[in-house]
Amino acid sequence: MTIFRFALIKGLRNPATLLFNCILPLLLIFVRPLWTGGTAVSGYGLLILVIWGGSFLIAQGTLNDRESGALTRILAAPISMRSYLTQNLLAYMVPLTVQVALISALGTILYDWSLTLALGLFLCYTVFTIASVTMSFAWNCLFKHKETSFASFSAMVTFGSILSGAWIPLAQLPTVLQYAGAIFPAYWGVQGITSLIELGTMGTEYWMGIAAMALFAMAYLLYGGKRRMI
Amino acid sequence: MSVFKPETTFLICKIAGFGLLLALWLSESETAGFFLLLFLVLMSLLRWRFPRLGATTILDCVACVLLSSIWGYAQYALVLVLFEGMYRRVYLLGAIGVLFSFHFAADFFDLSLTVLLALGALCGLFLGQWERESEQKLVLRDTEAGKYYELEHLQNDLMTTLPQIERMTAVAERARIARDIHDNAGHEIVAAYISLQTARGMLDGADADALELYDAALQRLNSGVNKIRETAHNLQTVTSIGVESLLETCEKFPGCPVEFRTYGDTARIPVYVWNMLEACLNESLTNATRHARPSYVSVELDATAHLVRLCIENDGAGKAGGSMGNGLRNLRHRAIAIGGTFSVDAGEVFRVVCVIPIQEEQYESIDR
Repeated sequence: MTIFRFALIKGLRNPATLLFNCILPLLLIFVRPLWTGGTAVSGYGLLILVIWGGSFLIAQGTLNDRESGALTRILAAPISMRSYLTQNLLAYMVPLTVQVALISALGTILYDWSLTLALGLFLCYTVFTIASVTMSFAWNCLFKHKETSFASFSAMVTFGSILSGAWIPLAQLPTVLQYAGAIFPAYWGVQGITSLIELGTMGTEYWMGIAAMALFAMAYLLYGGKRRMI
Repeated sequence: MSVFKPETTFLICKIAGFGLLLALWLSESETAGFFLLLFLVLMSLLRWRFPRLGATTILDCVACVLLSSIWGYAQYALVLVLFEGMYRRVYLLGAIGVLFSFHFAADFFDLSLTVLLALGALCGLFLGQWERESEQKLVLRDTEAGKYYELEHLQNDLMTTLPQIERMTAVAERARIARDIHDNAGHEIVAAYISLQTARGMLDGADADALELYDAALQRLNSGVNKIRETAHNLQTVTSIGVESLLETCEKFPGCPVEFRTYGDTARIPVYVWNMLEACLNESLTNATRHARPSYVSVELDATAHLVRLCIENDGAGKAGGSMGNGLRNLRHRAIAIGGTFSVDAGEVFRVVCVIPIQEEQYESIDR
């Protein structure tokens, strides 16, 4: 697990990554109006956006490795590409998953979330973390330069955050755009969480959201795994 | 080269197809439809990642057929599936498509959709055929490039061989002249000198002037004999050629002991054949050192009135593998060019056999 350890250390060494992956999610849970319905923007959707951005920042490690030539040196060692990718992706998921677990626990204490809600949120956010990390990985495989990747991803996230309902409620969008966000995993994450909060149980819509995010993750992994890294 | 390769065209068609299906889904927003689309995308990526899983298009087809009752546009997704199925040569899909269109879904199926299915299948077939032809062309181009590369090597080999043969011929000719001078002309002159010396004793009572002239002539003759001997000696070659050269190569082989045996009259072997034999021996010993690491090497040279046979064996065959490299292939070409044969046998013992016919009337041997 040497690669895992170094990927984790390298990922968290960047202040922006550290802020998005370890501090911002925890800060959000303490802003009470976001979670009690006192604001137009929901804390649940905002957390989706933070995870999305954080996962992209940390997943840039593979792109950095490629740009700096470190990947060539790593693969000169007896390490398979599969092992390299698995350990890297795992390292990118761990900080966010820990944050999600902490948020679920803190939410139960601070806002009296039921066990079903806390577990449901934990599962939904964890699956979304996997989907967003794999998405970032696949996205980074498309570009040779970090700047291009970052700029295009920012544009995509801007549209995605509006269309998926994470930033503003979907009901406020024109009818034709209300379903356009379905191409983003965030849409299904928001749908799952909304269903969970409204029903109080893990209903069909919730599981459909989880299934859709899992399918997205698999698709991104298949795409990213095929692209040439070097 | 055109940007539109078969794979690129296929990819563009697929993306355009999925875009159209997504647009159709947006008009109804049926969740089942989106999951069908997501499933189709996932399966397409799976087949893109693992091309051998082409048969999984049947799963796509089944999913489309099953969901066509829930989401009407699933029939259009079937066009995309048929397109990919035909592209990947899963012809069973064609049969399923036909069955679906004429039997199971007659209620909500129309003619335009049937035409669309047929067109999708035809486009897939066309693209698939295009891709296979491109692959064949690529293989052909690689083969041609390989042959060209081989010929280039052979040409280089021949270019270096020609000066070698020229040099060996010159050396052989010098050796023959030296031997002729020493064995024939030299002996005759020495015999004449001895006879004249003997005759000198019979001329004691002769004229003093005549004797003086006679002695001067004898002295000049003696000087001439010495010069002839010196010239013959200088003409002798320092470089070893012929069988000596082969023996020297065997003795200097560092890997393991080399047993060298000759049979028949090697003096009959022409210069150009020696050059070929040397090349064979060098290549075989180099290969043995590089790939086989044998414990013994045996070299046999058999010369008859009409042909020469060189057989080189080593026991490192298992380690070396049976494929023929560039060096051995070039030697085969060279052997064929002079009417001989060159064969390699990679059985329990790695054996190289080179047989070359001798054409005495055309070429001079080293020792003649």
